[in-house]
Amino acid sequence: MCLYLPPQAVTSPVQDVTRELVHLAREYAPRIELQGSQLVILDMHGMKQLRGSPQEIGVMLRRTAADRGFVIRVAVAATKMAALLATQGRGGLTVIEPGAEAAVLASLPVTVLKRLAKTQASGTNTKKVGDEACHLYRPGVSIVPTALALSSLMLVPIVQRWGLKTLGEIVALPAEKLFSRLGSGGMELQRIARGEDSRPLVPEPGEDHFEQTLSLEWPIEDLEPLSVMLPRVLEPLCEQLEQRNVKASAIHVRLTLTSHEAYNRTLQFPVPLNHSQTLRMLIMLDLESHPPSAGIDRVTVTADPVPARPLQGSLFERALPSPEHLSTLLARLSVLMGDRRCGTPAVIDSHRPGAFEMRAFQPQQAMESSGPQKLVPILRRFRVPVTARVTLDQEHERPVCVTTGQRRSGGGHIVASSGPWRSSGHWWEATRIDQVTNNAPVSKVSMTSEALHAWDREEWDVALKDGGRCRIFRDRFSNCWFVEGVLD
Amino acid sequence: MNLANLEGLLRSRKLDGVVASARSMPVDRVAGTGVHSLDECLGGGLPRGHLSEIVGPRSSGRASVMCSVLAAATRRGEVVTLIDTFDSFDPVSGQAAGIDLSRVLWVRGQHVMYRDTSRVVKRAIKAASLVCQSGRFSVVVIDVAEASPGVLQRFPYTTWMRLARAIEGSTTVGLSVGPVAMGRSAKGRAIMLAPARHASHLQGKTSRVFLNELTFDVRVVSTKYSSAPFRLCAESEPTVQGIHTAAG
Repeated sequence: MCLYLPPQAVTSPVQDVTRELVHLAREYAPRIELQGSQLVILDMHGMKQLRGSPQEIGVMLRRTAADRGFVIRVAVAATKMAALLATQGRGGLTVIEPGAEAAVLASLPVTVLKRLAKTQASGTNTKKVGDEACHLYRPGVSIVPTALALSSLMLVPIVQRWGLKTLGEIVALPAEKLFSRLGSGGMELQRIARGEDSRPLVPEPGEDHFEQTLSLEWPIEDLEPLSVMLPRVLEPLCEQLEQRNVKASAIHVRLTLTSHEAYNRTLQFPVPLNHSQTLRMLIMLDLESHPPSAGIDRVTVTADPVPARPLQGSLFERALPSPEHLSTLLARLSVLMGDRRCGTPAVIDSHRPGAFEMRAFQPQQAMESSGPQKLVPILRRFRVPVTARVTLDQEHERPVCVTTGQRRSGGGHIVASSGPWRSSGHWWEATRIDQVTNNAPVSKVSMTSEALHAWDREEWDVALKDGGRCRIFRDRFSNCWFVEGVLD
Repeated sequence: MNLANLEGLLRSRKLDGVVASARSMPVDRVAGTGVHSLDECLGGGLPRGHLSEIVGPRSSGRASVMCSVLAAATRRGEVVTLIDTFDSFDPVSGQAAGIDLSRVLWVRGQHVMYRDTSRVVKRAIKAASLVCQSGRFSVVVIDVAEASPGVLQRFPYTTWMRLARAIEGSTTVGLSVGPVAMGRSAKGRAIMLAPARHASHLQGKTSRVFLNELTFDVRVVSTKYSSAPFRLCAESEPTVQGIHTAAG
């Protein structure tokens, strides 16, 4: 189906006309294509049960447009090109039965091709001058792809010079002779005259701004009433997301407080969501751990949309936790254990002992892996190495006794040791252990990876008399000993 | 009333999980640990829907067996959770043990001094309850191995029973790792570990490879039986422990 607003019927600025036309089209069909500033194609496939027959829809569209103050031409056809040409050549409502496109278009003058090209070019020009309205509906696309190919359009004066007046006469030309004279452009011109499409409909991207606001009559001081009010914001937002077949990868909660301050929170999800109850739970959990400083006057929730990709479960792979449950669980765990305390460990490409990073927990489907599994000793690592006093054998300079102030890190006489195993790295960077700890007593030395960049150490694996196995190391910058972990 | 009738009555009241059955567990109701001899002793693996425990002193192979259970689960394509109460898990060692880290939800506790241990353990138990209640994970491990026995024994037995109830009837394997026995389900197993030999045999040894071997005795205890101890050896290459440059 095609909607066309003739230039003589345009009384408002072009931007407003395009906006109105697009709004009207979107009310009737989810898939539309904008062809210039006054021409819109609607995909009405599968809409019969919802909206009625094409003729009824056409009548309704014209009536709605008339109520809004503009008169439009409507053409219904099985192909886009037939509908486009029909709107250029006929007024009112034109309904072309499937298969009768060529017959209906045959009586139209050849000049409709020029008129159609001009109408489409007006849209192109509008884009070039940076029409905001058009950019709103076609983000990231600067030029409208014209339905009429330029090569075919250039052939119109030629066929007019041959004395052809109507599209039917172009169709009636013998294809072989037309090809020998005009090449592939001639064949395309004939296809256009028959009302055949050269490409499928390219639907306009939907409105990409998903935001809902709720202004409260009375400020909310506690979070509990907010949990009751949030569905009024989230349900329409989720409905909007679902209509566009997208999900929210993140949501931004903006609270306007009674102190006239804006309180913003951003929630990133491991998997995109569009379930209002889950979103409400996640927002509430986040606000419980980061409560606003004053009463809430207004709530605005904005969603970052991403395409929804429903996946079918595999018969051969284990089911993963559902995204909704997983997000809620992770939010609850984060509230309990603290930010960035839950996730997936990942070993990073570094020589720093114990280097790792935390990543978002996003398990993927995986097949069972086979092969032998080995039992290996595991190092229980003290995330902050424990300061130790180590007695060295004067003759061989090997540790013979290690003492710590903590029971869990162990200590005692060393019955066997291996080392030293030296490693160093990032010594070329400015921050060094001696600079970090110059002013700190030895007992307060912290060996967190955040504090240190460079390291230079001698490691010893030691077996203690009580049966414990530890890894100790001497930091060569500070000449201090630490217990790094226990072998368990 | 014979045993079958009694079991039928308990099952009808959904109380069959609280009684240990003499029958062996079906294959799909156990999760293998990845250690053949241990699996044999456990009757195929750790029972699903029940809380089991790994008990032993420091350097007795607790973390090795724990990581072996996690590795076996991730190799089966399952998703697991590790409640790391004192933030002592080393991902490099875990990867060396064969764990697919991308399938591990690592919940990190906090490294604290002993006076705060009770609070940290309590928080870890709450986290474990949340994960168990979600029922979305095949293996849930709560590691409190670094807590002192006194602190753990102050927690009432019902604490662990609540955890056991949370996973009852599900396909989740609950596993606690501690220095002393804390509590397990009726059908749960206790894997008791002890260092195999006194460290004096290492006197004078200086090979790093030798120190990377960890030999320990294992005994499996359930409500019905206690297995004979057997010996396991955890062994690793020096390079997998994160040593990159060696001198001396």
